[in-house]
Amino acid sequence: MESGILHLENIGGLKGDNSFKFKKGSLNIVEAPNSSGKTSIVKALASILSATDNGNFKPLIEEEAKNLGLRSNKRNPQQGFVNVHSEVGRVKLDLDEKSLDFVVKQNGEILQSHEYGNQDFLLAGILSNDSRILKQLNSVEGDEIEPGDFYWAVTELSSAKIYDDERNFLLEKKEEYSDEFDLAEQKIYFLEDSENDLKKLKEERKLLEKETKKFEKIISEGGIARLVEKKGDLYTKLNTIEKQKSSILAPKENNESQIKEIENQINKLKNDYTTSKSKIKDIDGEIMKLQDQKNDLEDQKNNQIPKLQEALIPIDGEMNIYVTALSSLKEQNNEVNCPLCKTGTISFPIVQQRYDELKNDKKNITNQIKEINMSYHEVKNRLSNLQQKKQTLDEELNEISTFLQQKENHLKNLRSLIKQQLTEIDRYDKKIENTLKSLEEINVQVSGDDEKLMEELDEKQLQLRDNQLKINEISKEREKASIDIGGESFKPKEAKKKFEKIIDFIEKAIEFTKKRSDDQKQKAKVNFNQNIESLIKKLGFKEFRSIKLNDNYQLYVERLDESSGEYVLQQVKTLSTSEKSAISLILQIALKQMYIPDLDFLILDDVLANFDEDKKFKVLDYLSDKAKEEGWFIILTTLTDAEQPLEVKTW
Amino acid sequence: MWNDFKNLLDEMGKKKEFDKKTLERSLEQEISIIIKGEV
Repeated sequence: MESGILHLENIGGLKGDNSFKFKKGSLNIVEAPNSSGKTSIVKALASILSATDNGNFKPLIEEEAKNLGLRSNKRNPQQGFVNVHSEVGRVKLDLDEKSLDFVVKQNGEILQSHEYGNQDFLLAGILSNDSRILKQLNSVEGDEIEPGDFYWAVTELSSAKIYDDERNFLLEKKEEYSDEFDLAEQKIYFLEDSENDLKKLKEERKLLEKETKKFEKIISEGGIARLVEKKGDLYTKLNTIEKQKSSILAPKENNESQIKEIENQINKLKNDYTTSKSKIKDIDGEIMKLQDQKNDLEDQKNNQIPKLQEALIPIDGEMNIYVTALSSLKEQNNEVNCPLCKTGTISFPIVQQRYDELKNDKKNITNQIKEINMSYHEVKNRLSNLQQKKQTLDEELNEISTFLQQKENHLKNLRSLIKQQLTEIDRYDKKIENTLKSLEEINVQVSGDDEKLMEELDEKQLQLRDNQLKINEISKEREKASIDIGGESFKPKEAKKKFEKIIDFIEKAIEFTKKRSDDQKQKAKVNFNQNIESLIKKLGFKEFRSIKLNDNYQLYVERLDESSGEYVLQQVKTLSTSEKSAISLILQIALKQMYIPDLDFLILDDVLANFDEDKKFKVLDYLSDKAKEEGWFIILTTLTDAEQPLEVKTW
Repeated sequence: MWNDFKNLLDEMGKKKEFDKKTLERSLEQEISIIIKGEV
């Protein structure tokens, strides 16, 4: 079986050399009465197993080192650790695979250390009545730490602490760059404001220069007396211009009224033109219709009339025969041979009837011919009339058009004339305006005498100098407004963008570390709760159903209420001393398993005093099994009343 | 560059060693890259 030998040289109450042998995979019980060196063994083991190369601890571990009596104060951190009669103390731990050496001076200066220590051992690997866990469970109201607040257990020993440290560092950096960002913004505002100021000052300068020149000119040109003379000249000039302007105004107004009149005439002519045009259109329609009728009648004349005339020829022939027959019959008054067929006989009434029929036919045909001829002539006449009317209207239209053109040309000429007149009036107005302005300037200037004028010139020159000084000052400040980042100079706007990017980057990192920290805490909480649950079962602590960290990392216990026989949720601070001892043991083993699984030591310093015999045996059995199962050195110290030397036993 | 920095943050977390100087140096490098306008 593997073993570890602890050599103490002038440590605590143990002067000289002392060695103790511990078995790996066993529960090693250090049993001794008070002041026999138990505590020195615990401190020696705690020191050598938590040693860091530079002797520095994280703040919470530092605090725990003080709790455990490993360090008292900053000036003398190892006070009491080295035997008071010695200058140097030494702890050596010989393990099968390595040997650890830790040498420290009376004043706390570490002379020799090793690289196998883990400072977390002080929180996760030792349980004593001075340990944080027990102190916390036993704390009362008003103490610095709440009994149930185990936030430290999921942060300080896990990676969450590192991510939190990283985040705090990044938050500080963000703050620094936010300040730089604000400064850049201030400089941007300054540049904007000062640009406006500069603009105003430059405008003011222009005005001052103008006024100064004006005063200088007045002085060089003969002073105020000359100005008065000039004022008189300007009034004369103004009168002349106004007269010239008036001479144009009357013809212009006349032209304007003419324009109005011509515009009315043009409108009337346009109406006449439209009316005549419309009439011509109507006549054209009628002409077309009559032309069609005339064509039809011509057709009838050419084709129908010859046919009708042809039809008259036989009628006339027959009638001539019957005329002769009638005259014969009239004389004889009886029947005669038929003049046509020569064979039969005919009588007067029959011939007369036939003759009348023929006469009637002839009359009808003649009427038809007459009617066609009459219609043709009538249409022809109407057509001729309309064509004449149209010609008259066309002539009228041409006249209107010519007249209209003349009027429009006249109007154009008048308008052009008015435009010229307006330009001229405008020119005179400008002249008047300039003259009035000059008069106004002179009126201001002639208010005093030459002495006053000189004073004003001096005043303006002083103002000019003051203005230049301000411009120089602001320009210089503006030049200094650049911002230095990492040795490079940037304009504020550019620097602001850079800072924005830097802050974005840092914020991204802050978010990342927060997420990682939260994940680690959550993971640690889940592991912690799982370990505790498993330990309760293995230790057979039936009085507890569960001991858990909630989402706020507060420890809650479900404890068996003996009077009701039911499990009740209970806050840690209301538990009894023995219950707190039991819970502290469970929590300590859980911390050891979680955070220092590779460090094979667990020290339990006099923590079984509050257990009853039955439970004590259960715990001892469990610890023995655990040591064997995990290959741990579990070192349990216990106080005995018997006068006996310090000895290490295995359970 | 973000990945390098993120890896450094993670590496410290995994090692459970907060090394302020290294972190500061690395952040300065990242900031220097941002300043040079390489991102």
